[in-house]
Amino acid sequence: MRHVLVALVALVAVCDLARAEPNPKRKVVVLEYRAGSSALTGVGARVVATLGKQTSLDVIGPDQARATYGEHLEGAIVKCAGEADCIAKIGAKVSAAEVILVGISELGDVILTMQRIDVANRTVSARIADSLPANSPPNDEQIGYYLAKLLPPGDFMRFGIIDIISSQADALVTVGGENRGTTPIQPLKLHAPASYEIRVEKRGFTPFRTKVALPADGEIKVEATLSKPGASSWYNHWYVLALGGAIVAGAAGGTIYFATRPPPSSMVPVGGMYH
Amino acid sequence: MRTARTCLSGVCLVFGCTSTGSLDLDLQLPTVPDLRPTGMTTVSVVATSPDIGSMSNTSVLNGQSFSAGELPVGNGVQIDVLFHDVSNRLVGVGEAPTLVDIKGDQTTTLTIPVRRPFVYASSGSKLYTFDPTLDPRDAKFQGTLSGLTSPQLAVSVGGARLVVASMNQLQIIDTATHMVMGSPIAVPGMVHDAAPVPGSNRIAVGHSAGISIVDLDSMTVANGAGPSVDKITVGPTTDGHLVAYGLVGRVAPPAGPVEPCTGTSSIISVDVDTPTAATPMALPQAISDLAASPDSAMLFVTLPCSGKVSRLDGTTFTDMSTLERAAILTVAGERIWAAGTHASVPSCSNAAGNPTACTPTAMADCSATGTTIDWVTMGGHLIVQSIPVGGGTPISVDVPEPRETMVSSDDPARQHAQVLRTLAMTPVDLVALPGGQYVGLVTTNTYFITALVDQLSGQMILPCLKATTGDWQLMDMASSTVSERVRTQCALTIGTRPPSTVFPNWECEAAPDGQKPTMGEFTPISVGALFGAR
Repeated sequence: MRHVLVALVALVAVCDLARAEPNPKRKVVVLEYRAGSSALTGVGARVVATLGKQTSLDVIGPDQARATYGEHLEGAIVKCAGEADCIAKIGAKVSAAEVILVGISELGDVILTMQRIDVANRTVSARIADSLPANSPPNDEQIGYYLAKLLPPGDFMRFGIIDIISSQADALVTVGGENRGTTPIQPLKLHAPASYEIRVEKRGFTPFRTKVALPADGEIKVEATLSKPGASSWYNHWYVLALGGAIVAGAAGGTIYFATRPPPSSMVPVGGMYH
Repeated sequence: MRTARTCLSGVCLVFGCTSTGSLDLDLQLPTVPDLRPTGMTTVSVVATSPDIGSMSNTSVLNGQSFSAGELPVGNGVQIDVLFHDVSNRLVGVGEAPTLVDIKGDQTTTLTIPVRRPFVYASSGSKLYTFDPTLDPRDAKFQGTLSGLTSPQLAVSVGGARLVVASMNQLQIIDTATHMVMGSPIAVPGMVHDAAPVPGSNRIAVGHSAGISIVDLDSMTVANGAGPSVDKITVGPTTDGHLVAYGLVGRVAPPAGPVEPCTGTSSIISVDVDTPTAATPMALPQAISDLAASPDSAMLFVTLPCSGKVSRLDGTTFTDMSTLERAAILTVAGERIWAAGTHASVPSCSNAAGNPTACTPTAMADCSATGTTIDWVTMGGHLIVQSIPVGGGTPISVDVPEPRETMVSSDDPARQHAQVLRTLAMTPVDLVALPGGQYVGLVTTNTYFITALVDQLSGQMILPCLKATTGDWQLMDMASSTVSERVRTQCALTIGTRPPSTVFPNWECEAAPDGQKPTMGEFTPISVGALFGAR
């Protein structure tokens, strides 16, 4: 009897390390297969949502796939019986590069499996399985954890574009403390989501400073107008800025407070230490 | 603790909660390296109560502090902790010793002992340990506990203590050190079974003189005198008080494939808080085991003769599932775990040596006469079921029949062998490990084949062989496989051999590495597990 290493909760990753990193914007279809289990309702949709939040993949869910493939999609998945070759054909019909097959079965506890199937090669490139207590669907953090094991790390590296346009040529551009050259510069492709401090400086001009929050797959255009010292408007005086800042901060703080003030708390955070 | 509070504050900032309520867990691991959980990468905090049901938060460990999301406020909540390693193997388990109230406006601090999920098997003379967090080939996978006198069975109480029943006394093991604590506690009869009292540090003991409730903190024993109790379980009644149910007159499933199954059993019940003399309630069925749900008023039994798992309300049986030769069961979480067997198909011959139909009295023995069992054409096998306590479709796993190889020691090449099919399997005891994915089982199995004689010369070529084996195995219900197995014993009896026998000498083939009983062969009589349900 061989020892089954991956016993109650298996985590198996079958990765082809030799293969080049796949396109992080490739089309991926998420399909759901249930082996007589009604547990984990909507887990496929949650996988789609998590992929949408954490990656730049072009993700289509079971409903979109059904619209393309036809109403007999579920029947086709059942007929495949988990065969990668067969599932890949379904993926090809919906023009996906990969299929993530989410399987739900019950054997004592709920068994959740996810297979990543390469449509072109018709092979399973990664697979995970987890066993969950009944009535305990995975939270978003767990789904993210599964997907991080299933998909290549490159899929979780997301970018956005900051396009900096200065009113003055030859101005030095610094983004996040890093020198990016002088204007005019090409749009910058940067990790996202993230916040960046941008400085545009030129001798003889008042430096331009701003901080932007760059969303994943987003593009932000920053127009830096550099002006000569002394040409400032009334609103550039420090006391005006300070007063304005105080008003904005107060308003923002108030908004945040009222927006996030919880009702009498029904949930409490859990944490601790082991030693 | 400062780090943990910082984490909690961080969680609050992230999740936007402004109340001061929190659940602060202090997880205490043993300092003994061989007992301390290691290699954990995730922690799951499980909260269970009638109001919130069961809710689990898992987070990745980073250092020795963690934040594990949020849990709803509530009263009387059971908090459990599970540590998994990178391959999601369970490496540590903790159960809060008492139910807690989680408040929305104050910090609830909870100290929980966390242990490796050790499994224990008893032989009557030693208590053997199995560490399922290790590879079976690891030298420390198997071990024994010292300082025990004739251990019969081991029961986990809260995880911090293991109670070992030995003849007519209980000994307590500190699970942080695996050492015996204090003095033995005497009970007024020979112990047959024991069960923890849910939510307390008490244990109910079924013995030859009835039922005793033992308080492990005060070391006091309260007796409910009655008939000899073979099996015991504890559960709540509909009005919430706890009752110990004892099975009187256990009927085991038939040992052999053709033996009949007959008999009836009785049940006695004793109030855990005020045990008094109990009168048996006769039932019209033979019962082989009983188990109560720890948190709802439900009592389940295995019926070996009718081949069922049933719920028992008073004297009314409600079928939960069909299970051939239903032998043992337990309740863990929201499921019943039960084991039975599918009988083997034997081949028989009459007194003249001619093939004949097997009769209920046909014996498989090297010295048997009359109509006898000659060999097995289809081996018996184990069936393990998982059944929702509320009813529903059971999940049944048919474990492939085991076979044992007997090797002729007359052959210097040691390649002349007979592969024997299972004549009979007896599930002896069962325990559901925490998390409900592993089920530990001990079984005894019998293998038999009659002698092979040359009809013309009358010369015996192969003697009659009868082997008895013991097995400890860990079923992985998630993959329907036996994930770990130790053949605890293989005892071979060879029938009468005339001097002219061609191959007179035989022995059991050694078990593969990882399945050998490294602490010596033994016949298992019970199995238990830290935090496990048996």
